[in-house]
Parts: sequence; structure tokens; C-alpha cells
Amino acid sequence: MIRLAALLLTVPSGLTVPGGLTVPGGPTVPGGLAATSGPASTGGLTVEPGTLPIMTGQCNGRDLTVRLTNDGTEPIYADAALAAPVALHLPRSVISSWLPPGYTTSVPVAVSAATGTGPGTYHVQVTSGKRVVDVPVEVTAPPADAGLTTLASRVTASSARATGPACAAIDGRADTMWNDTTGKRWPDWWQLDWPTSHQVGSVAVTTTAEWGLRDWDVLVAVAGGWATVASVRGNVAVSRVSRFAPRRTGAVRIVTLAGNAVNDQSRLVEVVVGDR
Amino acid sequence: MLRMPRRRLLTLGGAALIGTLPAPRIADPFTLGVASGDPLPDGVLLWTRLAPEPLHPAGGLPPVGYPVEWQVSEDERFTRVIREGTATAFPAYGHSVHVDVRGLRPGRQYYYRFRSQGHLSPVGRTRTAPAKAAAPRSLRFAVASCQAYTDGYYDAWRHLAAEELDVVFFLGDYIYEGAINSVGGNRMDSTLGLPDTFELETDTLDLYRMRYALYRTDPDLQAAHAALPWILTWDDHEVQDNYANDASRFTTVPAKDFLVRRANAYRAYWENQPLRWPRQPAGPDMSLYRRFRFGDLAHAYVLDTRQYRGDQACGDNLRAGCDDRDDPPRTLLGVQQRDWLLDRIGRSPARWNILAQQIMMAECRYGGTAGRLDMDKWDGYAADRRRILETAAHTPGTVVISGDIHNNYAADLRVDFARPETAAVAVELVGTSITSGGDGSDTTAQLDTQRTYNPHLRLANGQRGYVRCELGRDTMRADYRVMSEVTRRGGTISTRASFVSERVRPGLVTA
Repeated sequence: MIRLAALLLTVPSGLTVPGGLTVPGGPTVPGGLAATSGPASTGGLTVEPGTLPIMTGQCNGRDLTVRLTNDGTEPIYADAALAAPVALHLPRSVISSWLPPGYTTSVPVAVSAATGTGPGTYHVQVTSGKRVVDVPVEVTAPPADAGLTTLASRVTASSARATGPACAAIDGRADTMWNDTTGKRWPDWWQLDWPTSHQVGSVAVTTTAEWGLRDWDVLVAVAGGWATVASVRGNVAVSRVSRFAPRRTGAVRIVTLAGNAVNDQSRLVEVVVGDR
Repeated sequence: MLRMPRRRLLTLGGAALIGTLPAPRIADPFTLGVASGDPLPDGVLLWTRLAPEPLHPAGGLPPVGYPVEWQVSEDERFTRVIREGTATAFPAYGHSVHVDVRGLRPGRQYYYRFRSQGHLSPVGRTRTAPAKAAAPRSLRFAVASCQAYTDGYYDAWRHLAAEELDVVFFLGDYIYEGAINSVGGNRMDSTLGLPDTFELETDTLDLYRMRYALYRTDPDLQAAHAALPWILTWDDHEVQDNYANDASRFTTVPAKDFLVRRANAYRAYWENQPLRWPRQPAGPDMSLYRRFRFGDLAHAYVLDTRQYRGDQACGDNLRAGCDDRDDPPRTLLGVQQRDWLLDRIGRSPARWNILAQQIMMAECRYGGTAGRLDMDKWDGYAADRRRILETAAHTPGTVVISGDIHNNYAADLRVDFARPETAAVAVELVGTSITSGGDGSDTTAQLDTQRTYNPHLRLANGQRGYVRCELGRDTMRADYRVMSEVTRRGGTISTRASFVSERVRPGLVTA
């Protein structure tokens, strides 16, 4: 009863007695596939975009969208394997999903390159059954005049929801935020690190209009620890800028102490760090 | 001892059994432990899953099947092996193994183990159910639920494994779907070094599989699985917080998309639990409600309050004045399951009938005089609850066991909770979480208020732990076992409260 569908690694659902499943060996993929400028597609496997430009830095990556389609008339379980050189970071190497007939699943996969990665074109290869899609990833360093948040090499937090990662606080979007997971437990923290020190003189925080941040401290890294350079108490505004005497530092940390209303979670929609 | 030479499994015969590729040598594949479950008078389901690299998407195995030998013995040293055989761990099933062992004697303790690729698994201990016609003097079980990995350590499981019990009822939230950071959340275990794959919310089959693997690497959880058989049902977090049937908690997600996620979640659930082959899902559908018999002493009805329910009334959450919750067609169990349950307990010959299910059945008013009710619980499905409690009124010995809410409650159940002067028709033991919610506390202002405004509640406690229960021929005893802490290793356990209830005159009395 086990079969290999033409498209994907599949096993029909509802088996009562399993058989063996044999597949072509591993995620080995042919090289030298031509890249396309539009969506890269082969059969029921589609990957968008066809090429992916990214800047180095943990939060400067972009998503590939992997789409798996069941063109058949029976439900299947489909697999895709993602392979990339060590210069690229992908949070997953496999996608498996049940697909009813005619259904397409779309899975975003974040692709990033660490600060210091050499500029050039790298390749992500997505394999599903015998199908392979090659996506060139063009890696560049942030421009010298990029904002301080764009120059960050690493952004971390005390905890983060899957729907509210630490990077969401510097993505320039008003509809995303960093959101901690420890409800009604304080403090929490969010931190941005640079590979080299920069002059820092202000930190603008945007929180939410409802259940936003009330109290927080702004800290900068100093030799052997942290120094508090600004404190906000009793905030009810959506945006608040903390200014302090400019100083050079390798990291900024925001320690959140309380929220408004239900006082449950840290909600950090956007952080902009300025040099003065 | 197993007599098959270790290398024999790599011979042509073994390879032919599983496919065309020879299985390579692998590291110890039994990193996820062993388990047994769903005990019957003549058998039990044995489980393991091969994963030499448990946090790898495929457990560190190539996509080939592996033969797995198994043995059942009457003694721990395996000198009296009475059943043995060979199963296959298929990649299509996450290299899980489900062995439905039959031909065992009722009401007996057995030991079991697996072997694959020259590696021997830990030894598990299990127990069959008493014979159908037996008249057991007692049934000892634990009620457990809600084990968020990020919220603490599983010392409660270690303590439970040391108890003298016949079976564990696990009532849902075995995994949680949200992000887990590299140190395991509040475990703050810097040795974990979890990859950021675990920061993705589980929605595809590979991510659900990995999540189960992470949970099952915990040694205390493994100890509890190895110590005795489990009977499990799920709640919401095995799929998504507060989902209802085909409705995501996010109203923007179409049902057809959510059902794909549900199919992935159900598949991973079956793969990773000691459930029989016929239970495996067909796409997004998986029949999990079932009955277990423990002689004439007790029948246990394991329910599914997620898959068939109507969407939560009045937009979910805590609501006051929500008339929709009383709508007669509104159902928590679905018509088919509800009628099955009512029919079975209505003519049950057992002295006790255990309703093993997820969510609090007793009315629970929040906010004092505000009287808010939780639309996700039985309070949001009042018609179904009334039907069951009216049947219980004619069925002596009904005991409802519940989880979900991360608090201990002990409740007398009445057909009409607004009439505390009427007789209780059943009792409910709501077990707290193993870890979910963190250390907790004996009481809170909210729990104190609930005790005041819900007179049928005999206990409201906010610590972690489980409920230990013993059914005798005429009397039930429940001990609420609570943990000193869970966010650090080594928490101790103690009995916070004990209650008894008579079979023919239900009502919880402090023991």
C-alpha cells in the first residue's frame, strides 16, 4: 500500500498496516540549476522569490516561501528538504505536511546570514521527491550609512513568542512586535548587539496603544556589565524617546518593568536607536 | 535474554523486510524512552520511537525502516519472557513503534523492552486491566495534565512514578505549540542549546514531531511512562490554543487551512503516544474517545472535547450574560460521542464510571458578583453538561476527572448549580498541571473569590502536581499531591488535601 507519488514523498493516510517506504537517497541535489527571476517552480513544488537578496545580520534576512501542492486525487503526506551552505542560516531543514487533494500549503522559511559573512551568491536548494528548486541568495553587508538597528549583528530577548520574535522590534513594521512569554512576570529584557561599538544617544520605543509598556529602563553595555542611561516610568504614550549623553557602546538593552492595564506582557512594536 | 545476534538484523532477510536500502549502523536510538498504554484484560500497547539524534527533524535517521525487536516478560530480569516479536519503525511514522501485545493475563504486572541495531531500550513496566468478570477491590490511578516544557521541570512525574498506581490518566496539553528558546524557557537550562527550530510555532508535521521529541527527552517524563500504563486524551495545545473543531483561534484562518494543521498535529500525536493502530488519524480526523473496563469495579470513558465541539459562544473567553451558551443544539462532545457516552453510562453495570476528559465540568464563576463564565469550558456548553449530569443522577458512582486549567479543584456536581441545597449527582476532581503556569501558589485572590462564589467547590489550589485517586467498592479517595516548586530541579511533593466520596451518595468530604 505504500507508494511513491510522482510528485512528493508520500504515504496515503488511513493505513491500517504499514509497509516499508523507500526513497531515493537523502537530500542530494544536482547543482548548477538555472536561477529564475520570477517564482522558482518545478511541478508541485514552488519557491518564492526566485532570487533572494539579503543583508548580513541576524534580523536582516528575508523569507523564502515554500509551496507544496497535491495535484492528485488522494490525500498525501508531502516532504520537502532544504539544504544551504553554512554561510546561510535557515531555522529548519525539513517541511512535512498532510495535503488534501488540490491543496497547496505555503510555508515561510527565514533565510539569514551572520554579520561578517562574505558578500556573494549562495544557494538554497529545496528538494521534494525528485524535484529540486535552486534559489540564489545574494548576500551583501549593510551600507555604511545604514541605521544602527540595521547594523545590529544580534538581537535577543529574555523570551519570545513564536508570533513575536525579538527581530520584530526592528523590522520597521507597525503590525509586528516583540512579545515575551512570561505573562505577568517582570522584568523582561530585549537586547541589540553590534559587532563593533557605536555612538548611542537616544532610544525611541514604540509600544501598543492598548496594554502597552508603562515602565522600562534603557541600559548600555559597559566594561564588565551594564549601565542604566535612561528610565521611563508611568508611560501611557505609544511612542517615547529616551535621550541621554551620547556614548560608545557595543550593545543596548531595554529592561521592561511593567505594562499598562492588565500588566501582562512586554509589547515592543519598534525600537530605533540614534547616535544622538 | 534476546538471543538474536546483533548483526543478524542487517542481513538480507532483515533488509528485504523493510525495503531495498540496508539500514546503517546508528547510535543509541532509544533516546525517547519507552511507554505503554490503553490496557486491556489481555493486552497492552507498547510504544517507542527511534531517534539517535532526538532534536533532529528525522531523529537523525535516514528514510528507511528499522526492525525493532520487543519482549514482554513476567519478571524484570526477563527470565520468563512470554511474548516477543519484531516490529518495524517506519520513517513515514516518524520511526515510531506501536506493538499491540495480546495474550497476556488480566490484572498482571509485566515488563517490556525493545532492541534495535544492537541497542537495548530501557525496561518498562506495565499492567493489564482486570478481567471483565473480575471484582477488584480497588483501582488506583493518577490524574495528570498540562506539562508545558518551558514552565518548569518534570519532578512531579518522578514522584508519580514512585507511587503505587495501576494507571495514569493524562488529560491533555501533552505539548504546547508556542516558541521554546534555546534554554527551554523558565527551565533556564544553558546546557540545552536548543536550535531555533523550536522558536517556530508548531504547525507542520515535522515541527510537531520535533516538539514531541523534545518533551520525551526529559528523564522524569520517561520514568513516568516506563513505570505504568497511560491512558491519554488530548486538549487544545496538542494542536493550537483554544481551537474548536475546524475553527482556529484566529478567525482569519479558513477552516480548510486549519484542518491541514489539525491533520499534522493529530498524526504526530498518534505517532508519539501509546495508541493502537486503528486509532491513527485519517487526515484531520482521529477517533480518540473510547472506553476501558476494570472488571466490575470501574469503567472509564475517555472523551474528546475538542474535535467535535461547536465554536465557543459569545467570542470565547470569560463572559457574563451569554445566552448562547445555553442553546440546546450547542454541543461540546458532538452528537455521536455524546449519545455514545449517554448510552453507555446510562446502562453501565460498573460500580464506578470515570469520565476522563479535558475541561472543568463544574460551574465556575469568575469575578465574584460579576459572575463571568469561561466559554471554553463546560460552562460554555450548558446543554450538553445538563444531559450528562441528568444521566449521572441515575448512575451511582460517577466521577469526572479533568485538567486544562492549571489549578486543583474538587467539586460536587449538581444538575442545577444555582440550587446548592440539592443533592450532588457526581463529583469532579480537577487536576492541576504538571508544570504549566510555573511554581504557582497555594491560593490567590481569584481562587479565594471562586471558593466564595462557587459553593460546590471544596478545594481551589494553584500549585503544580497531580491527583492520586483510589476507587474502592463503595468509597473513593482523592489525594491532591502538590509540588513545592517546578522552576528549579528537585521540587518535593506533599499532599495538600484529601477527600472521600461515597458511591451511592456522592459528595466530597475532607478525609
